Amino acid sequence: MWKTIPRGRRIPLRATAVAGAAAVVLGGALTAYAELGSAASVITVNEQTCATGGTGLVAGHQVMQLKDTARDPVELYLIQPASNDVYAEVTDFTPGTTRTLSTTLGAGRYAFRCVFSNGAVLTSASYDVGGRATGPSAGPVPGVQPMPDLALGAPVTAYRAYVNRSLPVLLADSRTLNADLVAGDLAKAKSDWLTAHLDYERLGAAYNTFQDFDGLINGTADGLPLGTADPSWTGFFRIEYGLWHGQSAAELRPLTAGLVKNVQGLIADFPSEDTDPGDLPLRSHEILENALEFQLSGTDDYGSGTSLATVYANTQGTQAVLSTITSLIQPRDPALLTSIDQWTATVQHALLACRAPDGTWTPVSALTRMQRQTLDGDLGELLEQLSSVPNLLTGRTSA
Amino acid sequence: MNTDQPLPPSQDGGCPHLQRRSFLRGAALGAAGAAVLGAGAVVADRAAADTGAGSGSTGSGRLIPFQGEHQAGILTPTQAAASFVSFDAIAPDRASLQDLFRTLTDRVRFLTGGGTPPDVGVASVPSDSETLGPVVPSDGLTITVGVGSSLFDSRYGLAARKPARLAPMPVFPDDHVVGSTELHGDISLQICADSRDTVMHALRDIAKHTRSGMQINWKADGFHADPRPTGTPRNQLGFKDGIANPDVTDETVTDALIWARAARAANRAGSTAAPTR
Repeated sequence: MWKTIPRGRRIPLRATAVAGAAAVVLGGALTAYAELGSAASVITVNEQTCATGGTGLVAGHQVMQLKDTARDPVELYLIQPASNDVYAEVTDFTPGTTRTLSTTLGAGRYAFRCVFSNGAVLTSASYDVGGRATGPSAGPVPGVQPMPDLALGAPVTAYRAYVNRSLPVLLADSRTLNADLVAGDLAKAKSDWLTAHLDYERLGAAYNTFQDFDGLINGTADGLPLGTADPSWTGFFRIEYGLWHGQSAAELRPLTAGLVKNVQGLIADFPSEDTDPGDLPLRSHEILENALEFQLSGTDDYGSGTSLATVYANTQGTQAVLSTITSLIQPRDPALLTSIDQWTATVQHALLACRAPDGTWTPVSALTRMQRQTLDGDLGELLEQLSSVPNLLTGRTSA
Repeated sequence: MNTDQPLPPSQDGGCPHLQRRSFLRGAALGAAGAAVLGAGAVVADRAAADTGAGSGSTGSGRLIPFQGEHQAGILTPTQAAASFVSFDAIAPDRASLQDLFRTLTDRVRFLTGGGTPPDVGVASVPSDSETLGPVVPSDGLTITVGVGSSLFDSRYGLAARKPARLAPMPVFPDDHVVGSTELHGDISLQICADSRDTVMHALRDIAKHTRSGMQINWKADGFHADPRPTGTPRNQLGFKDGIANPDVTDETVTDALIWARAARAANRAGSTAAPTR
């Protein structure tokens, strides 16, 4: 379902037709435009001293031209040596190229740090930035404590333990669903389908980690040549479609049996599947980004009207992922977690408030406009908060 | 879309208006009535720094001042592209609504002035989408803010301040409103610029900064045709539309026809009304 763009955000492959054209996404906040600002100064990056040139920097908005004359690609960081905090960066800087670094600095002592692809790490001589930032622009950018890639090792272990604890529950509930259809009890199957589906949606974080199993277990009909009639369509949404469109137990039994088989396959395969450490910060945002686009829009409702339950399970999955990286976020941006927690609570409260008095979930299509707008707005605001996590926890090894 | 415009339409003033007679059978797309706020009401927070940044290096190079006695986009010479967007306020309380209008003011001030978006640290998401390039061009952008009568209900304690004649757009004979959801709204934005992508960039920026304060209800896009062959442009039914507009360069005309005056409406002086149909 997801395609990885180097050093960028993933885009869902289920792009809408309008957005079907190829997109070029530049990584990082640095762009390769040339600006002839008066403050422009050329700094040469090399493998002897890391960086030279460009003296007389004055606090405020900076536009620096950086010319890479080194032999190996480099990750270039602008740091304060006293704290090692990172203030600006040029990622994947390749030899022979010139890049523009645009940022706003406060007065202080800075240096460039070069982390070459061959493992060499160099720090340039100091650059003293004098004066005081003036003008209408926002204040100087804050530094951030760099995080080495290895810091995500423990979160990955914790996340995988969470999945390992959860998968047997998913298997048991999938077997219950299958047993309902073997017994021909379609009413019970509807209720047990939701239980098992939410088990899966609560894992949330699992797109790439589950590889092909995600499509087999939780794929939609979107993009299949025959749509909902496509024989290759399997998994929860296919079973939902059948249960809520009058298909018989006999017709659905192979699908629920297949679901059990695929969950077993996932359990067998998971130990050998890698979890990319960088995925965890990305997923803390992507799970609900996906929920906003496909669940809260009603797109992925194949008849059960339980999209809001799915969104709720996705908020729980997001919390599970966040809990593994809380200790990394806290020292870098203490206010962010508070804000995320507040908005998560707001969204969860709004979701629960949309249930009928008997506890059944309201289909997205039956929400009042005000309910729908409030959910969209609250989830959108939560996503604005979560969107800070990936950049905050980008690996900046040796920076 | 029929229009019932007391505003001076396209020839001299404002955005490409939703033109008269566009749909003779009047699918009531986007029927709404809005009081366009006076500049004083929008510029609620003048404390923020002046937009010394100037216009960007791309786009038409036109910079239409954000601050002034009246909002821009009403008497402004017509731009090429427009979006009329109706929002519903979802701010939970009056204080949040005030925050929403402050945010709107800040974003409109930045977007219409153009310039380099603020730098952010490496840990933050970029402060601009950069769909218009690294420097945001002013590009003749105007963003005109209005409020609908529904904003003056019980939610925010504004009932006593509702302009007396501000009312929801009525259904007229031969209107076709069955199934239409593009009706009414609490807050209206008329976003006009010399290029379509500048309009879209502005709308995306505003939506991103106001997620928990307001949500889009409906949107109608418009454009301003070139004169063919000369003079007043034709609309898509072939009519030359807006051939006899009031002279908006004459203050006695605009004061009489357009602007609310302090003598009659102290809290709305300098504002006007904008029916959208």
